[in-house]
Amino acid sequence: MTMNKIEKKDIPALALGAALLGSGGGGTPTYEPLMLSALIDQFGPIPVVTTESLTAEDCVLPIAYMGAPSVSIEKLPNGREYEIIRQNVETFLGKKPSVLISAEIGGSNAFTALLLSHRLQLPVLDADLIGRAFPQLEMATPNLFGISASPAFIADSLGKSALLQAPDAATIELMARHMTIACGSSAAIALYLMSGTEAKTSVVAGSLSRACMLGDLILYAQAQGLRAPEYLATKTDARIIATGSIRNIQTQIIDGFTVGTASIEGDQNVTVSYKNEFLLARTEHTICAATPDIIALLDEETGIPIQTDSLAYGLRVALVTIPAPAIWKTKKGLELTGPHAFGF
Amino acid sequence: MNNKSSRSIIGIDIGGTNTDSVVLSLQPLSQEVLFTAKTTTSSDIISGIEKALATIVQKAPINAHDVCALFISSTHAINAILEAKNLHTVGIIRLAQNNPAILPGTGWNEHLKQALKLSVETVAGGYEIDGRVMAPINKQEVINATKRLLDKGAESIAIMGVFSPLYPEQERMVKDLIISRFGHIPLTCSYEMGSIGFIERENATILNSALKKCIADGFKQISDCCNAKGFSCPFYVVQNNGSTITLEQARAFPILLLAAGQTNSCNGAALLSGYRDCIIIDIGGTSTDIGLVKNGLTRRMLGNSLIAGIPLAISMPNLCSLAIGGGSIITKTPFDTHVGPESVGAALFEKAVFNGGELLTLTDIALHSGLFTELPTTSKFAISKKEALVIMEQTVQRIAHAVERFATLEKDLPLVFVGGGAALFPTPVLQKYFPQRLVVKPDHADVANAFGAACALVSGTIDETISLTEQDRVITELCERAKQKAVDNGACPKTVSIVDLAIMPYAYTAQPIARARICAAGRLKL
Repeated sequence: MTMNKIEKKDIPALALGAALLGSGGGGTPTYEPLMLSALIDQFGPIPVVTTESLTAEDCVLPIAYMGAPSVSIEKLPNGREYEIIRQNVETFLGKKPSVLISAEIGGSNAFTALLLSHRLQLPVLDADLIGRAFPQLEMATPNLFGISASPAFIADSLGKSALLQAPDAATIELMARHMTIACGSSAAIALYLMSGTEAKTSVVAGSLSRACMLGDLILYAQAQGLRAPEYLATKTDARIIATGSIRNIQTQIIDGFTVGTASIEGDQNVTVSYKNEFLLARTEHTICAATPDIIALLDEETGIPIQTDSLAYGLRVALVTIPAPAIWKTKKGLELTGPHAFGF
Repeated sequence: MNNKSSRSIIGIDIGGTNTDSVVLSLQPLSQEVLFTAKTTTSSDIISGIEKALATIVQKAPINAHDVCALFISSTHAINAILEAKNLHTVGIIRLAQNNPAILPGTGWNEHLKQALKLSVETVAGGYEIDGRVMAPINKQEVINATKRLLDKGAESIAIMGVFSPLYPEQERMVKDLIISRFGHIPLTCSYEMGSIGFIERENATILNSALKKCIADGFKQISDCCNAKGFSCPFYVVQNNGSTITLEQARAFPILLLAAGQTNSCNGAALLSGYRDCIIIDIGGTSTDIGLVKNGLTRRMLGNSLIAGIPLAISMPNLCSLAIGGGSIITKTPFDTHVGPESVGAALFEKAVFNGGELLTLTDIALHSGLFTELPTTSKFAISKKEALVIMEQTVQRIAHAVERFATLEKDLPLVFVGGGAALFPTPVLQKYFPQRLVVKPDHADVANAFGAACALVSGTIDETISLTEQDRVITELCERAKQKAVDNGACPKTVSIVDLAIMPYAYTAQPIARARICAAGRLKL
């Protein structure tokens, strides 16, 4: 089924599905669903287009908010950031963006393009650049297809802005991170600008519909009184690794990342390691799941995803894994986002 | 019962339907229940308390001047929000140079939004997370904004600054400015309302301002009324986490009472039963609340709560509520019979059939079935005794289903039945539907909430931003200060311990800092 718009009724499912695809990171969509709902009340549903409908003339603008989730829930955006970015794109590149795409489907950024659609009068592509959440800007599929992250554009709600150029995406990440801190640790970014033709092959297509579909399954299970994680496992390629209670949380904030481990005590004892996202799940003897596959902790009953920044002792959870988009399982993909890339 | 015990404490729970009271004698290790009473909550709540206190003065074996403390829990605050009644209208001043796109009250139910007549003014101000000022306060701009809000009919003001929990200076300055210019309008600063999270904190700030009407007024009357009856002891009010705050704190921060009634209900039931791990089933006049107590603590909701659809950073007990209570109205259709969801509430004795009224309630059904015999009746009921028995069994079955779904994983925990409506169901009948579990109905189960209030721990809270460079030393020091605060509030030093400790580190700051919220509590000092 092709999705051609996002309506108010789709929002709860999208929020749940995006949190699930966040693999524990990306920030829990909290205010974004509220804001989107208010926007749809005022201006109507958000137009959505598919990658098939793109043409060579299209200029695709991938966008995301960057920074600490604890900042973005306090210093709220007002939308002006992206008006500045669009103006800078037009001034410096002489291009007019024609389609928006959320750079990251996992977590709150799933909503970014949707929230800006009315303000910028642009439709949203049913796709993203990751298929989940990752902590760094170079971890995006266009990087595997030779599409440059430069020039990248950054702006904040107080009117600060910059254009970044660098030979590789990892350097853009480093520069953007510093710029973001200068902007009060929360900023809007646009990067990997590409043509419609390029987008057809280098984005993860169907991400929005996938998030909605996963969220719908969780909501359905809740309404039917079924255990949502089990229901997900029967209806999708999700697999339950373990169920039990969260014990032994060891979290530190290192360079702005939430880093640590938590153990799940139950039918078998599993330890999950995370850096913003859950990256590795292992028992004493074996590795049960590893990045780039999605690893999520879901409330054992409701299936509500529990992110790395809201782990709490004693919560009863199901540890679930969902295969990552195939592109991440290639040699190049694994180099960028496999366990080695995170120092495991 | 002329043996007038020298020292005692009183617990009063003001519910939506009933006001319960209990008098406990104070012994070093145990509390003996000396007296209990149940009165109906009047539409004007203070007269319900007056009635309760009058009954105690008349009938309880104590002297008013021997009472060393009075504990009050109530569902005032949450009911005012749910019914959108008795609230101040609120004007909001946002100190936010970033000018958030989302407006105050987004997602609220329209009814409440209209009752509060929310209006907002955004002025220059706010901080970055690292402490840089986004924009300085312009005094004239604040004065003009306040004037516009008051002109639009705001009775109270909510001051909401970006990153104020870390940097409260601007909010304090604006508060002083407004008071010096406009006199004492009810005001709430958001930095006192919670942590980082603009929307939840703004919601709490708005509701706190709005609630000052019923809580500040209500509690002012309570103290006058107690004094008039000869009670000169200190008052304590049960707050969200089940411990107590002072009357002054309750009046300044009524938001702290939103979850108090529910938490207190679970605590009281668990204490009465003597179990530290149990499932609580509180059957009241209108609803049945099922809660879980583990290791003496009520299971709470994951993450933030929704109250009347409003996201708030307040941890609420995780309860399952059914619209079943002693006052539930029975409706018969050609196909079946429904219990609830409507209830006669406090008007049971005026409206129910057993006392000559016209509405068939669950209490009537219980009496007619013969399962409940504690009220006299000579009325004729429109259904057969057999039908009444079937309705009773179906009702227990509904409760049983809800319990099993609520606590699927706690298969062996005992069930503690409390509340005024619990008497309708004899223990053997209940036991039949829970063959795997122990069913307990403790003595004084009908006044469990008041008992919970009387046993509430006296607390002290510290809420500060700390540097994490010397984390251990700083936290130990703060814990000591929280304990001292609890002692200052009336807790016995030997019994004080830390009951809540939250350290919330902030990412991306130049110095590693965190917000620490620490609550210490202990038993009342005798």
